Formats: sequence, structure tokens, C-alpha cells
Amino acid sequence: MPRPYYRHYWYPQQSERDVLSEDIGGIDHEIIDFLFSFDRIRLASFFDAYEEQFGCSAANYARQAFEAWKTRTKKYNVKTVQKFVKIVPLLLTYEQRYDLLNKLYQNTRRVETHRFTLVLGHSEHQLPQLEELFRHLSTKPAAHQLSSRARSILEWVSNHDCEQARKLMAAVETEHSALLARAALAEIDRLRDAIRALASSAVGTHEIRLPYGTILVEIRHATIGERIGRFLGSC
Amino acid sequence: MSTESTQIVLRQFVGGQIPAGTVLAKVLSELSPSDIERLRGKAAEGVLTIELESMAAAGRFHASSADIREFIEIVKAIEASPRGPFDRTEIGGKFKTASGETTIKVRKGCFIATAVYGSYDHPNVLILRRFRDTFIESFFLGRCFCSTYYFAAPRLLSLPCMAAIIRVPAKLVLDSLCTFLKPQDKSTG
Repeated sequence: MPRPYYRHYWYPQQSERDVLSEDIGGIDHEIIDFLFSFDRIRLASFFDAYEEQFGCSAANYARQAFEAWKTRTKKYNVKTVQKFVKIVPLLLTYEQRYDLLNKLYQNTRRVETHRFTLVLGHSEHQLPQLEELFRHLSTKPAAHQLSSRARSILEWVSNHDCEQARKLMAAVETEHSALLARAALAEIDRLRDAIRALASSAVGTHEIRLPYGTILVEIRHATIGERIGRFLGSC
Repeated sequence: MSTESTQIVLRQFVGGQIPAGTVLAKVLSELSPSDIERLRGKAAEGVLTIELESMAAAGRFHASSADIREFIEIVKAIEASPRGPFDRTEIGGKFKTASGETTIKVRKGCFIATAVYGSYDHPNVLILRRFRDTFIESFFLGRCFCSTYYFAAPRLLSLPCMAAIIRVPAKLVLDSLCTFLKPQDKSTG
């Protein structure tokens, strides 16, 4: 029987649990830790909610298996984890839920990478493009959306309080990005002056790390080819 | 909730004010009283984070500015220090800044004039250096010449026996150039 082409050893198959964990930004581990640290009252609320959502038999099984799950003598499958991540956050304090939500958005954001080269006396007109890029990256926190799968698993993120909390988080991230962008522009100016003051072989790079992107700016003197090209262009 | 009441709530918790017109101020002003009640701790935390980050950024900016100035002085001091005729120097600096990290690299090759006169601090080399900085680099073709020279000279001199071969003709040319430049160099100081 031919070997399936996709089962190479260097492409390890992800387990269902890993896929779920990746989809929800790895917060499942924290949610399970919260669950196992619940006191008796909160645990009773958890089982009540479990029964309400998934039925009596599922809740009875959960009640029986809970201690074994907690002591890791019994494994819980991916479906059970999905049930935990759906219910447990609703029983947390608002602060705990906010921190969880913050982690979820931080771990699921996609960081862009951009590269810019500024040649002294040649392509300095590219600075407005850089400013535009900063503006774009500063607006990304507000535009960041969770995947539909994550939303379907974590229904609680669509609650009103979570939506408001997310707005606040995005505003803080936007302010932070804007602050870094202002600093970066001043630092690029400073680096340009430094490269100008140094010999023609000097090359400066500045790496800017914003919450939603990394920009690498290289500043250097023009090469002879660029100088001749510019001279011919101006003739 | 009005901006004014938001400011009052936050002043109680943060002790500072959110600058008007910022995204954070706008979002807070749009929250309902129940939301602000729930979120005020986190809002205060957010405002504090931004304020602290802003202060830290200012500190890092000034510290890295001083470091970069010092780096430029070190590079210039190395340039001016006595070096062997075939010394190749690569100087690099990495600076933690407010928005990330700055890296500067400067490469210095060996020069025919230094090879001919045997020292980077020979009076004629100094005259030629000053001539390069004040005259040659002041116009386009001169800068092109310099770029070619810095590209070709180290490679040329790295060839075996090349320094010995070009020493005599190069010395003749450079001596006559220095004789011509010396009075002008004195007059310009």
C-alpha cells in the first residue's frame, strides 16, 4: 500500500487539542487552571452551568470525573476542553476575564513586517510613506478581529462587557503605537543626522517594534551607481 | 458619560488627566456609567501604562542620543588615531531606543596615500584628507571619485606586491599634489 504523501516525518500532524489551542490564542491552559482553582461555591455554579448547557448526563459525568481530571489521572478530550472554555470565563471576576481577553487578543494578532531603505539625498521623500505606515499600524488594534472559529468557541467574547473591554484595550494599544511612532520618527531623524556626520561607508538601521508590526529602516549614503543614475536623470 | 465626568473618575484613580483628543479619551467618553464603573480600574491601568511608557520612552531617547553622540566621537577619534597603512576597521554600535533598536556600522578601508606615506598621521595624508573633506566631497563628480576610490583602493592594495609596485609612481603624484595644496592648506588653517 503506498504511503500517504502528506505523512512525512517533518510535517508532524497537529492534534485537535493543539489546533483548538492555536485558534483561541493558547488561553485554554489558563482557563483550565482557573477551573481547577475554583472554590466549592464557584465549582457548584460551574456544574450548574454545565448542566444547563450540555445536559444532565454530561454534567453528572463531569462531576464524577472532575477530581480525576484535576489530579491528571484522567485525560479530558478536546470536546470537554471546548466546554470548559465556553463556561469557565463566565464565572470569573470581571478583572480576570479582562486579562484573559487581553491575552486572547495579544496572542491572536498578526504582526506585519516592513522594510524601508532611505538613501541620503535620494529617497528621503519616502518619509511620508513611512508616516502613512505608522498610521496604518496604529489603526490596526481597532480593526483586529478574532477568527470566526474563535468567536464560535468563545461565545462570551461577544458579550457587551467584553466588547467594551476590547474597545478600551484597542484604545490603549493605539495610544501606545502612536507614542512609539512619534519616538521612531524623531529617532529616524537622529539616525539620519548621525549617518550624515559619519563617513560614506556608514550604514544605520533602526528597528521599530510596534504592537502590530515591525519596521526595519535602513539609512545609508548613495552608492556611485545611484549618484550617476541621478545625475543622468537630472540631465 | 461626559468627558468631564470621565476625567473626574480617572483623576480619583490615576491622579492624572487623559489628554483631550486622544483615542483613549474618546473611547472613555463613549462608555456608559455602568461600563465605566466596571472598567475604571483597567482604564486607570491603561492610562498609567501609557504615562509610564511615555516617561520611559523620553528617558531612553535621551540616553540613546547621548550614546550615539559618544559613538560618533569615538569613530572620529579612531579615524584620527595613528593606524598602520593596511588597517581595516569596522566599528559598530547597537543602541536601545524608545521605539526599538538602532544599529550603526562604519567601515574604514586602507588608503593608497596612507600606504604610500606609511602612516595615517603623516602631514601629507592630513593635507590630502582635508582636501577630500573640503573640496572633493563638495561637488558631484568629486563624490563619485571618492566612492570609486573607497571601493577600489582596499581591493587594489590587497593584491600581492601591489603596495610596493604603486608606491613610487603614487608618491610622485601625491607629493606634487601636496606641494600644490600645502600653501592653500596653511591659509585655510
